[in-house]
Amino acid sequence: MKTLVELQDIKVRRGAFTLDIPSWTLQEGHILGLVGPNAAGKSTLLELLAGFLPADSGRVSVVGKTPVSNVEEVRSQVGFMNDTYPLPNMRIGSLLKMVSGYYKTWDTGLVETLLKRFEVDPGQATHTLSKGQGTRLRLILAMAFQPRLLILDEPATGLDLAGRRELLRTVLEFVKGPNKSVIISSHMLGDLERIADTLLVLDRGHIVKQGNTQELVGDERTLEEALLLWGAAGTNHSQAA
Amino acid sequence: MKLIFTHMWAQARYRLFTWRGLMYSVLAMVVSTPNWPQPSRMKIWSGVLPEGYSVVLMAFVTALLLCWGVLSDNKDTKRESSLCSLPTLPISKWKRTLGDILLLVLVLFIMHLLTITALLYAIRALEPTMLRMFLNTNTSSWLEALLGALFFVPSLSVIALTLQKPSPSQSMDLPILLTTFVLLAGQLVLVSSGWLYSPMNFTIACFAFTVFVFVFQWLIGDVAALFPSAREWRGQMNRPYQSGSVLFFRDLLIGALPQLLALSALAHATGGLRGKWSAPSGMSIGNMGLFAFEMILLTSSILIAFLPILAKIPFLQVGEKGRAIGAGYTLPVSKSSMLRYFFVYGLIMGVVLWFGVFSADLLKPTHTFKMTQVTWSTTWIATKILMPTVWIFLLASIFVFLGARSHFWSAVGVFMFIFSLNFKFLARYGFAVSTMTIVAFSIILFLMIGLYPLFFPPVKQLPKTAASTHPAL
Repeated sequence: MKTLVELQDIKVRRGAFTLDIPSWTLQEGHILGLVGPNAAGKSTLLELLAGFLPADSGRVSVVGKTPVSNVEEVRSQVGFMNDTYPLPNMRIGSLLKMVSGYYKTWDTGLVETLLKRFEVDPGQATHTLSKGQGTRLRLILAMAFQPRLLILDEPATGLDLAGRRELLRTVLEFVKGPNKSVIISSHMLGDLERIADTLLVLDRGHIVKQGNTQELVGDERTLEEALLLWGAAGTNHSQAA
Repeated sequence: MKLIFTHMWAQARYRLFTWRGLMYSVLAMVVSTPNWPQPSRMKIWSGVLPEGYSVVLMAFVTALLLCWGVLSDNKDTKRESSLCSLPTLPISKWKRTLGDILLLVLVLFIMHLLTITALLYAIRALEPTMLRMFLNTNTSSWLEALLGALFFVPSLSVIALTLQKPSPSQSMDLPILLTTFVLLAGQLVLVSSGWLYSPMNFTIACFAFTVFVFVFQWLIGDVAALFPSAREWRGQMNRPYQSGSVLFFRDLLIGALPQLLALSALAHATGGLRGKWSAPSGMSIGNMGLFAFEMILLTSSILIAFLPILAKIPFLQVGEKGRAIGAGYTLPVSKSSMLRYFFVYGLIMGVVLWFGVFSADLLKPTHTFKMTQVTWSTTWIATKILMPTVWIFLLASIFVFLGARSHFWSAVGVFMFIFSLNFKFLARYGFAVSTMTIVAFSIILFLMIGLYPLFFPPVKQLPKTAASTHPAL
């Protein structure tokens, strides 16, 4: 298996916060669950991997390239989605056509499948979408070009139960493809526990735990209980624990 | 290269050539009205090409502004978007920027060539009756100045709307504003030297100033980015989802447009100074046009800087429909509130404009004002043009600078600025202002701009959340 992501001696400073990752790698064929309390550095890490954020020091390699300096190579192989990035104000069908021109690997069939699965109407204008519908559209945009690495930052935000089920199903199908991996950051711990075979637990910018989900969590605990045990569930939870 | 064309095509096909895009494009052309070919220069398309250059250039740059407004549309997000709003697209910043520029240049240039040609015929048909009805003179300069004032207002409002930023940091546009002042000083040097009176030199100056503004402002950003506090202040340099196009176009347009309009005004003045036209009062029509444009320019810059004060007026507040701009500015976006906003803004602008023009007229008793470019004396320029203008720049800059810190100083700044428009008053305290003084002044401003973020790091204003204000906490 090839290494899709490799971080070495990474430091990213944002005001008083510092993301500090001495070493971390992700191989192909995995679904990685990225968990941790608020302000743990999850989104910072994902933005770093997607090339939106430069590292202050250290080496970032995604699909063999440095994301910030190889935008085209990396972003044509890495799908990124969060629930806040802007959508141009236009019809969904037009948006998809517009975006398709930028990707050689755009999969029209997959787009149609996902539109049906997520019940997204191509004739609808983006500014009329609800939060959940916007999330679904962003998911489609992130997956439509068959990326090698799919990065999902809180993909379940705003999704109803049916939407979450379809999301999980889609992610599982996606990772079955050759040489693909998924990184999901989410507070929906139950969902993550079901699909993530690997975990990366962050707290205050540092890695608390990493490894196989089954080995880390064990049979007798849930992921939530494990996080409480590791002290990576946020201040209130830790106090409660 | 292929990717650049792909980007251009995608943006043109799906963003520009839409009803919304076309609507704004038409609006852009309307806004560029002051740059329509003047009736007295109707030969521009039949051989006198240098003047045509400036006309087309002005029209083009003005129109860029509104198209920027269209293409940066981001209704459904508070984040600033770019021409191509999706931040995840696999296209590098410079290619995206280049594609955006090429597209806009191409489309707008063609649009304006067509529009100007069409308007040429319309103006030719209207000129004999309409202009005389308004002015009872043989010239259109007054009308130009008036139209300039009328149409410049909405265009500036659109600038302000495009300034919407998610950052709570203050006075992001101060460098841009001050750059404007610096460049205006530079323009005055060119005017006083007479160098600008050649149409070709004028065109060169347009490009040179544009390039200078662009480089200058990016330099500020890059230098500022070296320092953590300044980086925070500058904000967007390293922020996720920020496209280079956003900064590029905003800086280019906000910085360059006023320069180009000012140069346009100077070109108008040039026409007057050639002795071609003469007002009944004996004052050069071109010079009055110059004053009018300069007043509009300066006032607009100041008003943009003082938008927080306008936003404090309850009449202009629109609550939830307002968009956050920079230091907590709130601009109305609904149709009715936009009209109200334009009305108040236009009223203020109009008052200041006419005040400025009449102030200029006050010079008449002591100076015949019947000038040609060869009889301009250095002393006259220094005492009546350069010195008062420097005073205006200085006062305005200082109070804008202070005004960025508090609304009280903003108010004082507005008052001082308007007061300083009375050239006669300022002339009592006149000093001989040399070119070197202007240069020194520019350097001081440059330092002020460059050092501002180091001395005044932003205070991050975190919004009050429901949780933090909950009575139980």
